[in-house]
Amino acid sequence: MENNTSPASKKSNGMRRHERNSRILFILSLLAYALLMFATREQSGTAILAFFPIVIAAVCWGWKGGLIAGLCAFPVNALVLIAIGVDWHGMLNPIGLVGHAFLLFQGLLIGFVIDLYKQRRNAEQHLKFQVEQNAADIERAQAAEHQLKAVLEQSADGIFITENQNRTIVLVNQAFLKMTGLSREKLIGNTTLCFVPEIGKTYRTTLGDKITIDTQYYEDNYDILQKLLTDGMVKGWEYHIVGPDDKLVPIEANVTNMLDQQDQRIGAISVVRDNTGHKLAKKELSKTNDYLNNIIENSVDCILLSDSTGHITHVNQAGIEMMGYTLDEMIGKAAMEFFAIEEGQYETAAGDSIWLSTKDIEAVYGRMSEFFEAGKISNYASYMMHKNGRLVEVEHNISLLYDQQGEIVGSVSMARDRSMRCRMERELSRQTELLSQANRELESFAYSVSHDLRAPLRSISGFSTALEEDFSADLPDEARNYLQRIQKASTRMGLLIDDLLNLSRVSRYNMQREPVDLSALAVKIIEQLREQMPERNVTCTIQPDIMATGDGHLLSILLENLINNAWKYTGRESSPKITFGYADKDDHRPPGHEDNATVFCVRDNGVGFDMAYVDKLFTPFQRLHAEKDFPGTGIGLATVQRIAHRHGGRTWAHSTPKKETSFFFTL
Amino acid sequence: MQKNIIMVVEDNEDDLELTLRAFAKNNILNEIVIARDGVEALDYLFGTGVHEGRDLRVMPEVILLDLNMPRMGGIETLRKIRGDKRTKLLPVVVLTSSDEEQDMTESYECGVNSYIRKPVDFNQFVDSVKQLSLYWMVLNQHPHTS
Repeated sequence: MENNTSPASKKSNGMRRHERNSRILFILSLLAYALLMFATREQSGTAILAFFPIVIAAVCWGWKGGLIAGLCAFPVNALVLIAIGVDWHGMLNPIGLVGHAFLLFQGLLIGFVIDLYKQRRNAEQHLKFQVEQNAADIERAQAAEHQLKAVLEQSADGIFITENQNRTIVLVNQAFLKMTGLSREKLIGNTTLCFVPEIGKTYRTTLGDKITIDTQYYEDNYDILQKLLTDGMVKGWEYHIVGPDDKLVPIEANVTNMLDQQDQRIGAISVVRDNTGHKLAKKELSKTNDYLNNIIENSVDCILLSDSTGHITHVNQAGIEMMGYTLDEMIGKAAMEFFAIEEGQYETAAGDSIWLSTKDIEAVYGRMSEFFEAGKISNYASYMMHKNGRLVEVEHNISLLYDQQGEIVGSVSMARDRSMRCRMERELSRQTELLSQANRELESFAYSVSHDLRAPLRSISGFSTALEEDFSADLPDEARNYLQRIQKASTRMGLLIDDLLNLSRVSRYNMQREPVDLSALAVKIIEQLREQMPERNVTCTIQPDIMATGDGHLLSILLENLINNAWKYTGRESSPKITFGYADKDDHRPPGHEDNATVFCVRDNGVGFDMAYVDKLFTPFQRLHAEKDFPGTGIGLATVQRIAHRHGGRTWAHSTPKKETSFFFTL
Repeated sequence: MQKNIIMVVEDNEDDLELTLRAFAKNNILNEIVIARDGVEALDYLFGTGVHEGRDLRVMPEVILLDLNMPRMGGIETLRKIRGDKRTKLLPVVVLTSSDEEQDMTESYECGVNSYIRKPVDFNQFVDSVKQLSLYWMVLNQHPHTS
């Protein structure tokens, strides 16, 4: 208030000064009057001058009220003088003196009354001025409050103000109303209890989960309230308010104490922010993080995360197990350290023993260098070193990781333990090698046996023939018959051995794949058969331009066998028919043959076979017809099957005797 | 100077007997020189060993050579024959049990003139011998080096 130099106070000071001057003038004029009365005591009419000091006093005051009082005093004065019967000359007698004294007293009285009046007027004026001033102040304060309220209303954060002690709400803004779902009427004058969750109650939250408000919850918040009282403010206070539909809204509040001029706490302002969105985003992020962490941690592959300098920042559980180091032992180390290998004999994690040559290692490093060029390398065979010195054979992938600005932030390296698989593969390849060696031995055995069998067979055939020729005359018919049987049997055995040799040759033959025109082969085979047996009249239908990829020589043998068979087994038909072409869609396919491979087919309308024995068809030496009906060794179809197998294909057959017999093959 | 000698290089007694019988049945009356293996054959051809001092102007008209023999097999014998200028032009016919591609290829690579597989059936064998004799002894024209 000291610095409040309002115009009202200035005026008041001026008035006081004026009053003082007026009184001095009034006293001076009284003295002048007394002197004048004394000097003019014998003259008439001087009494008129008795009014003079009063008029002067009034004028000196500069106030019309003073003049009126002075003028009023004149008749009163005159009347008093006449009533007491004095004349102008009797003024100096005792009565006159009383008259003068009264006059003097009257002047003083009037001056005093006027003084009082003026004082009162001044006081009134001052008060009025003060009132006006206050009104203006209040108006300004109201305008400021209005602005403040508008700002509060506009705030996106909820704001409420509580009074001291009972925490009565005295102000809330729109945002807070929205947050609580309550009306202003409901909140103002009420306590904060109308939006604070109740203890012991279970609420659903805007995050979609459920919370039970326990005493701990209350205790925690009570502690924060205490902090508010001691510190004067609390920031980032997280608690819940009950929102619309009785759902809890997670909020974050900044609360500041309001103080009066004596620094006494009179209330608190709370600015609260709805944390739902923030929390949901955080929850979502944490969910994503959990998800990713789960993937990394539960991966059966070793996952190494490295920073941009190639130093390990994280290793998952599988990696820890795969390498035998603890997480601490690996963090911060260069990832490449664990992939470093040199030439030597190693025991693998699967217990296998392998030798890594310089060449093997160069091959690994060669692939690894792709990573440095392309920033990515997939599925290359590499090695990691277990803490126990064992070699872990891995299938390795590395990719650089980039941030949104495209800067390299690190790399992720995934290694799959293939030690066991590699061991199996090596075992398998050893077994395969053994097997193929055994097969080669068997083939060579079959070959040499076949050859060696031929020599004695020639002797049997030769000498029995010689015996019959040279000693025919000495031999009884029965003996000659036996000799003929020996010759026939040895001839047949010769054929069997030849077919066996052919079969073994098919297996050992060095295949060369090329496009083969099967139709042309079939035409050629039939031409040959027609040449050999011109007496046969067989209707042959060859579907043109059937191409296949395979070995021309072997496929020729395959078709020769099938067409020869068809030719042979239609020998007793009156109008024999043979066709070669693609199989029809509705052709029979046994189980396991339902794939999409192209199926070729040789059909005839010959004698066919009993489907009960279909399984024996492709077995060597298995024949379904008597030798005397249809001669043969039973090797042909076995050869067909072996050729199909060598091409990765299959064979099967179907027969309706005397109507249609079909032999199918794929390549 | 005798002419038209047929040389048979064969270790198997039965096969030899049957071959000779086949010649007989075909009325082939030429002189037959028999060697039991490659070493014997070369001794005869080059006049070494038991045949030391033999008149090397006399050479067989055709040599029937088996492949599988002890000491020295057919292929090696053939190489030696082709490797010597005295014998390099002699007609050599491989007569064997084997019809293996590899044996055939090797024989032809070493300069064999013909390759015949012995059939099991004796009558067929007789027929084969007949044809090869006819061809090499009668039809075929051949320069005589000596």
